[in-house]
Amino acid sequence: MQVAITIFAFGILTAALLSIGAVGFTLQFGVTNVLNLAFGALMTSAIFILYETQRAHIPLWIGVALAAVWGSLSSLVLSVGLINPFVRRGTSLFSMAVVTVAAGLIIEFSLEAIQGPQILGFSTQTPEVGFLGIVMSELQLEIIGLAVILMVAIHVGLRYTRLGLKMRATAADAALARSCGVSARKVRLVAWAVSGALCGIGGALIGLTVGSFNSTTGNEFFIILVAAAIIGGVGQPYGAMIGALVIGMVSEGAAYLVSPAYNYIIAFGVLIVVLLFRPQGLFAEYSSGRTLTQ
Amino acid sequence: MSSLMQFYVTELLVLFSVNIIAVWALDLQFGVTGINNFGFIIFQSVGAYAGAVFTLGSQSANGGFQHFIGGAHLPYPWSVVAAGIVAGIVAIPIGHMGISRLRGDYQAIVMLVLAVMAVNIANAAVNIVNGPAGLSLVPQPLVQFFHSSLEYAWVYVALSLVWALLAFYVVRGVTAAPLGRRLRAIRESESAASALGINVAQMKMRVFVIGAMLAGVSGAVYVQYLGSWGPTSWAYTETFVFFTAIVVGGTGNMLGAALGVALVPIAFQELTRFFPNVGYPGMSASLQWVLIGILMLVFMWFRPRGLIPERRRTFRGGKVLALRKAPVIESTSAGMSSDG
Repeated sequence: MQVAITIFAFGILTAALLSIGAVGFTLQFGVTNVLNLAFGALMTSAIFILYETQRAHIPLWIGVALAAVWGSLSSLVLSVGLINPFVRRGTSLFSMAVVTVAAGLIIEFSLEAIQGPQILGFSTQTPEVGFLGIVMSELQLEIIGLAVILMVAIHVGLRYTRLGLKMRATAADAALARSCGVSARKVRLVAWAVSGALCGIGGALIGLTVGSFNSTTGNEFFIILVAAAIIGGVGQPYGAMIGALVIGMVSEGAAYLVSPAYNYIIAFGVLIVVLLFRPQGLFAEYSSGRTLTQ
Repeated sequence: MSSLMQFYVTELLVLFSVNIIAVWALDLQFGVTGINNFGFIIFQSVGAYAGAVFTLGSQSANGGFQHFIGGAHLPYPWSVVAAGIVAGIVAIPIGHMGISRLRGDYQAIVMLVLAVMAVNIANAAVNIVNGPAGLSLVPQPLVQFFHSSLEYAWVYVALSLVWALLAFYVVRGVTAAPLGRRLRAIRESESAASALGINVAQMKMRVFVIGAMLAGVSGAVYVQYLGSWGPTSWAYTETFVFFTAIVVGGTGNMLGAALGVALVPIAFQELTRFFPNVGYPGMSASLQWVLIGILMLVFMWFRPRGLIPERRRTFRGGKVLALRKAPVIESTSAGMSSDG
């Protein structure tokens, strides 16, 4: 029983960390139709931003907010400066993957060139809280709380605001949305900004929780949150949340029951099973399955 | 030529042959058929591990300091052939998962995830291919027949060029009409190709497996030259060096790919080696990757078809058929569109 509670609690923590980035990534793809493989590198850059703010003794949550602003701005720059010109020119979807990978390489290795190969670390000490026989730090609880707030905000934003409606309309059918008077261009820009902010927060919190990081940390976790997004069905924000929960629970369970070295490998095993039997993801509607799988 | 210079030249020639086998294989998948294989390095690596394991003999050799499965002493050409076959076998389940049923960019990201995951597995499971330490002391093939190491270096160049020639004939055989015409049709429009009665999933799967086998051969030729192979030898980013070579040289034609290999993995990486060292050690290596990214973007923008563009294939009636740009479907947005 104790083991189950521990796995559950830390599974929720992992899920909280992954869900922020996974929802950002999947929202970006859903609305803009670009699979942005530079996402992981942008997450790393957000960790560096948080690290710099901590060195300047700026309060932690203001640092996280700055990382969000940074993620949002850099993601806008990436879309306006690089991705949109290629899309306008008619570069095929699959060449876009090459373009975003190149952008990711440039960001990741520029950071490495600036920072050097050493591993940096956060030294955040927060009091620990014990409950139900497990011990978590206050920071970890706050991260879970923030993730829940963000998920609820995204849910409310997508369901109950006009902007959310426009976003869902653009995601479902951009041409039809345009003919109903939705400015798909503006909606996409908003999507880039929002998903960029999520990328910044997600990245910064991952760096903070893991404690030590270098220029590849963002990409390591990017792969895991992509796995979460794929399990849920890429382009589906709610699917990404469920996918993050699945990955979180399975990886923590594997870490406790099998071996910590295998935690993400076993979580990837879930991904493989999903790819084999339901390649469009668990929560994708049938129609979206058809666009992703031929 | 001084013998030092000769060693350098032989190393470049072996590198060239290894890379050209890999790039031709990737171009067959990416340039000709339109498969976005961002996990290509998996298959080169499987071939390298297999090429090592099939020559190292049993685990207990060399005092038993490395652990791996399936050790054997295969005679020379067979160890490389077997490595190619193993890579081809590994490609079947991976292709089934990642390639045959998914859309292009989605394919790319699934393959990328699989590539990262494969490195994780090689690191975590120490008994398969010796974990993070990797395999070393891989014996060089046929070395016992030669007395001077310089002589052997040139012999190895000849051997690897023979493998490259073999790869050339395989890829040319596959891309020649009518099979190649079918593959190009799939690249241009999958739905049109399947409407013409081409079994798209099956063709893609075949190309995927053939490409993986060639990648395996290149890995085996490489490891038997290097003598060691470990998880650090095949980070997922290595795939993008091959992609850059194809994008720079020209997609969908073997001459372009060859030029790309000569320019990107060979000339570019060798030239930057002679740059003055700035900053800390290793900084130029990261700047090299930044340059590779920039090179890729510059070519994607200014010369998307590469230095040597693919030849336009024309219909005997005189009408130009092939090689229009892939259509951008404005209305298909991600997940939820209803038109297929």
